[in-house]
Amino acid sequence: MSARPSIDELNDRVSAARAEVEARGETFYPGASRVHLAAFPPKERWSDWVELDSRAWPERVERRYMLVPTTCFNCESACGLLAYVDRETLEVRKFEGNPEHPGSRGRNCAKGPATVTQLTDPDRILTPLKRAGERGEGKWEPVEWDEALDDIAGRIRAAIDEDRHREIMYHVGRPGEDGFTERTLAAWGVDGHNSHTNICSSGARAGYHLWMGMDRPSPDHENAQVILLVSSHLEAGHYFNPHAQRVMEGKKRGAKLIVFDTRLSNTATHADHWLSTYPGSEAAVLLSIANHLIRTGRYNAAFVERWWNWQEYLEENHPDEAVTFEAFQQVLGELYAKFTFEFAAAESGVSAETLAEVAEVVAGAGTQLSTHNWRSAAAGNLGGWQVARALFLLNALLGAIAVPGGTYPNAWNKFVPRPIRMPPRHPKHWNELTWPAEYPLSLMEMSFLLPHLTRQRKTHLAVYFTRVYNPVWTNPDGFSWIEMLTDPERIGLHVALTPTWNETAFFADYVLPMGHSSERHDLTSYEQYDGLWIGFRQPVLRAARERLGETVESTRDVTPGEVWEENEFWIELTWRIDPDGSRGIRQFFESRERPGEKMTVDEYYGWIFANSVPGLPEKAAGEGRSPLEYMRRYGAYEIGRTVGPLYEERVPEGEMADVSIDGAGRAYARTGPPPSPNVVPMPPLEGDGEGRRRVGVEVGGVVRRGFPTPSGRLEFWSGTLAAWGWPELAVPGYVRSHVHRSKLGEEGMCLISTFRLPVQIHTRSANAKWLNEIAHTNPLWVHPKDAVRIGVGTGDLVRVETRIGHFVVKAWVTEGIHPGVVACSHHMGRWKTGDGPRQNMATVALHQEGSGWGMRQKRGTGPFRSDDPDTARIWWTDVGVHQNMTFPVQPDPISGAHCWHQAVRVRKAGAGDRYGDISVDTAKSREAFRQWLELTRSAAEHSPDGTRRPWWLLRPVRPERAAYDLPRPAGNGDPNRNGPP
Amino acid sequence: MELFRALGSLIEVPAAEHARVAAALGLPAVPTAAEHAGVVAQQRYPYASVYLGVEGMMGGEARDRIEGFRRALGLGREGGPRRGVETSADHLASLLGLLASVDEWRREESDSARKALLTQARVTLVWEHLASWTGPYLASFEGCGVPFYQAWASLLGDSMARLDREMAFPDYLPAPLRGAPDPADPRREGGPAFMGALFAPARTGVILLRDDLLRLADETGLVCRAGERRYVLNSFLAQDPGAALEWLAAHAEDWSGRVAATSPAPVARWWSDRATATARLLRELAADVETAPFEAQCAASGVQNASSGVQNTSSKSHDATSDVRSAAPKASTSVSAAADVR
Repeated sequence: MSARPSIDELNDRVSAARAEVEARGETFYPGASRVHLAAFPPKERWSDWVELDSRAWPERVERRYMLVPTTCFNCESACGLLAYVDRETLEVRKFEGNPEHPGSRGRNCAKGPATVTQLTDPDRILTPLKRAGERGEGKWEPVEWDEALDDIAGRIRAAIDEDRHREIMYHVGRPGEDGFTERTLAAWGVDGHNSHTNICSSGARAGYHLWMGMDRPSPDHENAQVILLVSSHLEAGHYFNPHAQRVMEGKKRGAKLIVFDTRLSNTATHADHWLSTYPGSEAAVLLSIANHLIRTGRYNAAFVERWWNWQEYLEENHPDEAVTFEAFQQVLGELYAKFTFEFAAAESGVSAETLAEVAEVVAGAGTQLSTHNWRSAAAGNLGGWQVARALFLLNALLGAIAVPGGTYPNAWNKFVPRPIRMPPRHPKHWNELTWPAEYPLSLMEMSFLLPHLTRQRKTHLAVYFTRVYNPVWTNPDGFSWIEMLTDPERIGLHVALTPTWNETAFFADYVLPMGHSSERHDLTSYEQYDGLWIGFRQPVLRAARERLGETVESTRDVTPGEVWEENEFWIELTWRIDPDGSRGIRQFFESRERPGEKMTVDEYYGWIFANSVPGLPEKAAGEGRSPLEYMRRYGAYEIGRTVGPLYEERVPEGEMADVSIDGAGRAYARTGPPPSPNVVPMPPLEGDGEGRRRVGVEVGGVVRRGFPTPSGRLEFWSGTLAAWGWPELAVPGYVRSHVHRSKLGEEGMCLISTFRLPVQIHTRSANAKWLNEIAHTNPLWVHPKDAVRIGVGTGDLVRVETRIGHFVVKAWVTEGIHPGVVACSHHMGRWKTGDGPRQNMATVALHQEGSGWGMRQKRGTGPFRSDDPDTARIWWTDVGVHQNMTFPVQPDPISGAHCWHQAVRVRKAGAGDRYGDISVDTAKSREAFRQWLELTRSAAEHSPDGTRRPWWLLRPVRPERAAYDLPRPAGNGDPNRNGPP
Repeated sequence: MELFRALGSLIEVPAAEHARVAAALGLPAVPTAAEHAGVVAQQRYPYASVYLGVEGMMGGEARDRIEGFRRALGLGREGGPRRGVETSADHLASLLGLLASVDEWRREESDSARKALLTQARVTLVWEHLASWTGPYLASFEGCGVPFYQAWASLLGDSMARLDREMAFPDYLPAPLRGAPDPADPRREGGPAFMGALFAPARTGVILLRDDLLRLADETGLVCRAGERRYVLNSFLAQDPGAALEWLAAHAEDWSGRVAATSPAPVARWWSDRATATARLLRELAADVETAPFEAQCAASGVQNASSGVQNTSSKSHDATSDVRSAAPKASTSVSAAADVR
């Protein structure tokens, strides 16, 4: 027997073997995380992976797969998926996580793997459909793509040619992509982007935006000492899977988790400190913690002095004070002194002792405090944006901003690669339906007011796209949406782009089937840790066929039926809008490689990956691939990590030509902006009026990058709020919510209607059978004390009365809810009036008499025969209640966000009430709209510079500067009431 | 040393990549998944907590200690600057991977103070969390019947011995060994405690595998019932406590000798002494059985009987569907596969 080599020799051998294998881009050790997640197939075997067929058990039948990455489309987290494509049949058999994805790292929630059930949904829309009867009548006929495209393009072309740009609107749910569609609208010169954001995250985002110029938090949970979540973010929030895994890693490292949640959610059960705050009191609690930090001197005074705009605050608000930091500290203490633990306890219902304990935990975090608020309290309450302001105040006090374990601005952890042929132009017109003058500070479009604004202003939309969006169901006041969609005076043509039937599509003129996550191209990048990455969504069967050597001309060639992808649709539509290129639109969708021909998605993404993603070409070349091939193979690329505190970064000499520094320390230079491949939205900052551009802010004698705010610093005091009519709310503060106890009356309760169920996602997952089996109803959470008062037990019917109507739902009596508050998840209550999807939708009868509407469930879901044997196994009938229809619009006058929480009365259901009943008077909806409108301070009266909106605030498809000017008043001074300028 | 990371990877579920790792190390052909299951997954659980914890189970304080050590190193950021370190703290692959990583960080560290800290961390990792248990653990592979694992255990043992020669270890025992309670005496602590402690190596100094119980049955003629280890041993004690205790005592004495040279001297001595003490206790108990039934000894403590429940099951000991005679180890392994890690 030969002697074994020495330990050193063996070490050298194995080191050399590893280096050699990894140099080829292959995996030396099995699995990405070899102990617990050892099941990932190594990437070098993704083209031919063998697994036993579980359905053949107990026979050992091998199946061969191609593993093709894509990106989940079921929520905005954009987690990586690996599609298992059967090499024999070229069908997708299942989805698992993509271990190469930097955000999700191979982990997924239930919604990712459930994608396969959406692909095979027997009720899927497989061909373009055209309305055959009246809108909403449910009669459809198949239509060729060509016919639909020509019709739609013709109407858009006419609108553009006749200067009716405002009549084109694209209304998007969660975009799930970065930039393609906004680029399309910019190419058309149309200010027609309309997002759902003001019913979602814009309240919190307005708060963040006002603080730091960027509108989203990017918490570094995994390195935090203290994690503070104002939400059930750990189970169901935005980016929750990538964040949740990092929250748990942070906890494993010893971090303390503080959760503000009125409900005992799954997130609350994981908390070290769970605060069941009364809805709307969150800011008061946060400010009491801030007061504790200030009062006890436990804040990072050096950071505050360095980076807050305290000088500006003192100068504007305390002109008699010396402008010294000591004076500011004194004022700061006085400002928040009233937010005692006792005050916060009275507002929130959480004891002062508990609040003091939690404040101490926060005080001990140092700079490692990661915080997050996305919707939750900020989306529920009047003044909800102040929740985010108050939450970020804690980070700002501790200096826990863009440092390990702190909270970063999203734009520094997000990478949007510059696309090919970026349209340089901005729309010339201002869209008053989405950006009305009453809401000059609205973070995003006032989308949920559309039925009211089109009625009030007698506006007509020639072409209205709803894209993977279902406002009839998702938005408040759904009957007003139905009234609008069925009114040809207001909606000329409604085109629903959707992979799945929904309540809004029932009222469309065209229903155009679009692909699910494995059937479309998109680019994504989200703030999920301190790093930069891009994810690539792709039609996996297209990529699989190309791996086999086939050429695929169009994604439509590999999708079921006539399903298409949006990007190719937009390219085709644009060419038909501007067939000869004379309108200057088509050029943005022309091939650079083949002038005069259409750009392909391969060219579009191939160019981006080759030219706008640093490091990717080199990485790909190292494996002998083109950048596009690399992305088709791995589905994601990490550009960098550990971005760090960019605000401290010194502005390089090369950007400092003819520098000028003003009295506030803002530095301007004549140098143009350095070319950047990252076009993540950032606020445009004013120059110095002499041709210089803002480059940074002088801090500590050095010009640093600072923050993209008017002051260049963190804006504790918002000069923007002060100048645009809200000086009393210009610092982080507490606004008593519209559901504050003092406003509810004797029998009033607060209804929380915004929380999600972890396995569902608004309307997108309605056809996912696995998910529906897990969660399919939404009972009303009622505290036992309230249940006794109301006289109901679990399962009893209750009538929940809102301002405009009522709904009837089952009670679930639980101590997991704050007394005086009821809660109902918004995920359920899908419905149809006739034929339609059979999974998880009730069949209902609609009744209208004038402004009075009623809905009654005729039957729930049930088993049915189809190609899928599982549909015969549906064992449940209850699909929940559509509560949103009974909610009036409640727009916050500053952020523009819908304030979801409802002041309600809850009664035991009467003899005539039936489960799922809904009753609404849309005349009352209009009255509610008018009353909330009265809270606003319109730009017409309050604009400090004659514009509609502060120029520096973020805005999708930003119009040209002249379009910001308010029209000259011809009557009462309100530009909207006078009609278009 | 990369060698440790490579050796760690080989105790995981076999994958195709293992072939080239094994080839680089000159090891025999990699085992099949069934061999891994039979030798490792169902018998030699590769988690430190099983061998260092007072309950002989995965997790608990023994794992917490290691997690605390990782936190002190600033770990827990998967994919962070210290990428490649596993997150399952007390798995042997994690510990060996961490050792390789600490070596790398130490090599790359330019700051002398931090380098010194990493040097100390390396000593702590090896002494407290690896050398404290790998000696007896690797000894348990002797006679496992799969050449790959025998060669792997031999190579890892040699590599650990090399560390023993190179490193200056503390002059006190690793904390888990210092704090490990003695084997439970059923006469004072009752039957369940005794039974639990028998499967906690940190209390007995002995690793008692499922294969060992099969040998016990084979050599004593007792009926081996299908079930987890504790259940099987209970049934032996119900059938013939004297024979079972004698066999266990002999097994502990054998262990005392087997572990005597597998670890750094103080650690090896601790394991050997502990096994000897266990053997002594078992001999006493076996002798007492001559004068009083074993159940009575346990009952005397007023604590629940070790073999409670055994009476019921032993009355069915002729049920052919559940009894397994310890004939071929292969067959018995497959029958008992479902039980035990907890």
